[in-house]
Amino acid sequence: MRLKSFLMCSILLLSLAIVSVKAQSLKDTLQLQTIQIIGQKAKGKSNETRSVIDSIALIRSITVRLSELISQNSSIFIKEYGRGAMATASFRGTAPSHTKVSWNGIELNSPMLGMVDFSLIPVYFTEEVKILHGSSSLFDAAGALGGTIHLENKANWSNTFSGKLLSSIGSYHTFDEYAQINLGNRKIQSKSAIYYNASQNDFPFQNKLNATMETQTGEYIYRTEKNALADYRNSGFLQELYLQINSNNTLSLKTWWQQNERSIPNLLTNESNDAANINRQVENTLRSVAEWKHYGTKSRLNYLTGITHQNSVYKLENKVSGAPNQVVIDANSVIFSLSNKFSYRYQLKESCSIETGISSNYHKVASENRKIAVSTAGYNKARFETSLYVKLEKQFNPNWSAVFLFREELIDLKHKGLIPLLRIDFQPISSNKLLFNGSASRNIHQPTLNDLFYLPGGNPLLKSEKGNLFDFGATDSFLFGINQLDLGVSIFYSIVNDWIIWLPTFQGFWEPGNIEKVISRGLEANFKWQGRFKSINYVLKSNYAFTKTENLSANSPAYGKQLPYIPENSANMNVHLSYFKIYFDWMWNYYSKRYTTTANSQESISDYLYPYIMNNIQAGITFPVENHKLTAECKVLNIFNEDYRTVLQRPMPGRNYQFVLRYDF
Amino acid sequence: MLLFSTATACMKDDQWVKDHQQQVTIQIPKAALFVINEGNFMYGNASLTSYDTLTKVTQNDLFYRVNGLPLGDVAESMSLWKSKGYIVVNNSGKIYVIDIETGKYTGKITGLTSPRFIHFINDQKAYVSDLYAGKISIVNPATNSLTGSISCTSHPSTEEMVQFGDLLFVSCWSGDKTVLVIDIVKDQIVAEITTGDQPCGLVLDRFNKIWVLCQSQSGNNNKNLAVLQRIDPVGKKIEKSLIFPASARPVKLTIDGKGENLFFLLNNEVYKIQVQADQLPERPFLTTQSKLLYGLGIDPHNGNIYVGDALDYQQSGIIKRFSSSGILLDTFKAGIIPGSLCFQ
Repeated sequence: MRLKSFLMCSILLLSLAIVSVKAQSLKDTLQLQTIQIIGQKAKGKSNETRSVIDSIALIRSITVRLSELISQNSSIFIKEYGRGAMATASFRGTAPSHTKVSWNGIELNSPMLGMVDFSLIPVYFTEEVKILHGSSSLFDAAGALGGTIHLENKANWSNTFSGKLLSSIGSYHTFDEYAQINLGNRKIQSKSAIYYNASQNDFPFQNKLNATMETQTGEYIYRTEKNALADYRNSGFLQELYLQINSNNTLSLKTWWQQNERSIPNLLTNESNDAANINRQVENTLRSVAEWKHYGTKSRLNYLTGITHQNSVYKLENKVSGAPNQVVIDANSVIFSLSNKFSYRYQLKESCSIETGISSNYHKVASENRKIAVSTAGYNKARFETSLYVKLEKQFNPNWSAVFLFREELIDLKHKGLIPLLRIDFQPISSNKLLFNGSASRNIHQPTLNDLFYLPGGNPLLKSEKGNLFDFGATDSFLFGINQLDLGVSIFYSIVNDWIIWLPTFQGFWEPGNIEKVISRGLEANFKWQGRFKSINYVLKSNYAFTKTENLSANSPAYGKQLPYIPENSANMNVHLSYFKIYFDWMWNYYSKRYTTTANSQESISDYLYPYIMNNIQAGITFPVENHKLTAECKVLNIFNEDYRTVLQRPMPGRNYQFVLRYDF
Repeated sequence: MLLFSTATACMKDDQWVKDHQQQVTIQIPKAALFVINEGNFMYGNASLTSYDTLTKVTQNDLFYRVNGLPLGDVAESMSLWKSKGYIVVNNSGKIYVIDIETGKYTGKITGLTSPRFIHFINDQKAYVSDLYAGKISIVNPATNSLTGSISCTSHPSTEEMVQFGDLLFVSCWSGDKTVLVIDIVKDQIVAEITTGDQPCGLVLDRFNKIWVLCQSQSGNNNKNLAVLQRIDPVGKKIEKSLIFPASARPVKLTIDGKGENLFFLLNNEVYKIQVQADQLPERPFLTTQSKLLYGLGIDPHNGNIYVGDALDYQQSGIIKRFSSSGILLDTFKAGIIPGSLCFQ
């Protein structure tokens, strides 16, 4: 009731504000912070197929997790196991471990699991999100068969004192608090930020998989249940320091700590006793990275060093009356990673440059399950990964340019593979923005430490995954007065041999194996139409992906079938309208049918998931307060109150609300 | 218009559920057997298959098609008592009860922790073993209610059960090396027999001896070997141990209807050993050409051998039916991970 009253008041406040703003809007002057809008690709700049999530989307999505931001603003498919639960990415039809994520140069992918849980990364701490598709990921690192996502923070050298405060309240006892203070001058800059986010996440839903049935009439009695054991609590801080030593040298130090704590709810068919299957997952992570950048007249030098320390605890218990809890699983893992990257770029001529670099990652993992079914569980292993590369870029004439990259991969200083990449860009008319590109590359993804060593199941003889990637694309941009249309399309074809998959065994545990051959092919397209109509600024943007990922291993019972949980079609659309101080966003997201079996059968209810279509809206108003601004925003998620699911056996919430107050100073 | 229609298109969750709620009426013949398809862990896609051995007609996804509800997550076993079938759904903490002639839901036993097998004593009493609970639950099949439990917190993982007179022998599988002996009159543990590592399968032969298959500890550094042991249920002692070679992981111990031959799976092959044998067979009895053998059952009436092949674990598996002499008689499709069989 309190939440409903709060929302009613907020809506009333917004309505009154709209009327008052309409009357006064022409008299007010609002000091807006500089907003950087980065397009799809800089004209004539050959090298990578990338997309950048623009600043408007980042500002509007500040309270969401990275999973929601990515699914709403890119062609990457996010598999979400429920609200606040684990979310993994599938990029161009690949596995979650094939999407690499870096934060200011250090990798976020777990050396244990290989993947990233996108639900644990807050958008608060991110100022730029850049996505490199397919082969282009090799410019940064090897192993990302799908692509890479880069999260970056940058200094604002013109800042002296600024910051923001944010508070939000939402359905299901959800709260967000965020504060940031930026201090500095032209020489030194500091940014300090802290956040807290928690939710009981106890949304109601009708359980259609667990009815009580009238045996006489056959009538189903579905219970309305609450999403129990699904609460989560996240908190963290970020400290950034930037030092402009002189016009040629900058230093930066960034430290990010966060704690994530959550329960994992039981499946919908569960009817065990209330004292059974009580679980809790707690993760503490500290990341710190220092970077030195040197700019010469013809050269650029970067050196980066970073550490990651992560402690994860997962406990599954059963309450026993009159006795200590029966601990079923008590898994504890500690990860320590040390990363170093060095790169040097030299402009040989105006049309030609060379870049070389080396990166090394040392990972140490101690994983233990004290209560698992076997006497030995977990492992204690370390790995030293090294990657060396050389990159040549050449502009042949105003129309043609090419880039060639060659990587050498080493594990514990032993040769693991050579990775070449050739990319060619063609701009038919130098005065026009139409640009074609094509690339061919090889890529290698090494098995994770769990793949190799986890006891029970780890397979030290596992082969690395080897991919041959080809893509071809085109981008163009058109100006119609003050309106602009950006278009991009790319097609890709990837052959991955020795694809790694974990499967259960009759021995009671899972173990990884290599699938002989997987082919992923498809198309990605995007458009963005932005401009102004009378006093209304608008942005309409959309992404679409067609992905066909098939197991083509000879003699496989799943030969020629789409891999489970990869949609053939995915799309999203965002409409942003702003009228003076009022803005409105509509966000639409679509995934086609996902199969859950390798046979792609549709005989039973658990064989597939119907297409996913989601609509969210948000509206807000900005009040000027001297040179500051106060923004009130209201979000309505799942506006059509859809009853739906994103994976089997997990409920999702109906229509829900969030009210955000934000103060920028 | 197109934009508006896509924006307002709904996901039709109700329709999706209804489309599969056929609530068909079927008649399961006496000659039929049941295949319990475990399904993928955390997918909730366990299912039940019936197979008529005379007509070779298969009814897949039987429970859902008849009752309009999914079986749940990880269906482990099924036992028959009178005219009812009790399907133990391990990771859903419940046992569904069906009429074995129609497959229709007649009730469920809920509130369990991680049930594995059910063993019937009489019309009012049955025991339910549990992977994690640290107790054996006592249920009343007449009311489908929990009536009590036998605490075994130092042996939390209880598995298969075999009765000999008033004694019930229970293997303690996960991380354990014990067979518990329970007095079914007093509902008390009266003895503990130390066995090889991870005893799972438990059967009673025609000489009233109990056989237990100990899988050994899993993992790459295991030093203990798998072993097939014979227990004298009167003396409550191990009286014979047949040790497997290093790295062997035999599973699914079962016995024929006459109690003369033991069968188990090892390295995707079916092995057979006479109960009087003093050494393990060197060669498999059946080479099935299967990809991933996961289930094994022997028809108690005619000795036919059924093996479940999980294929790649992520699609419907198949069952191969062999004669008692090892001739392939039939192959039929079942559900995802066909793990166990239940004969009428």
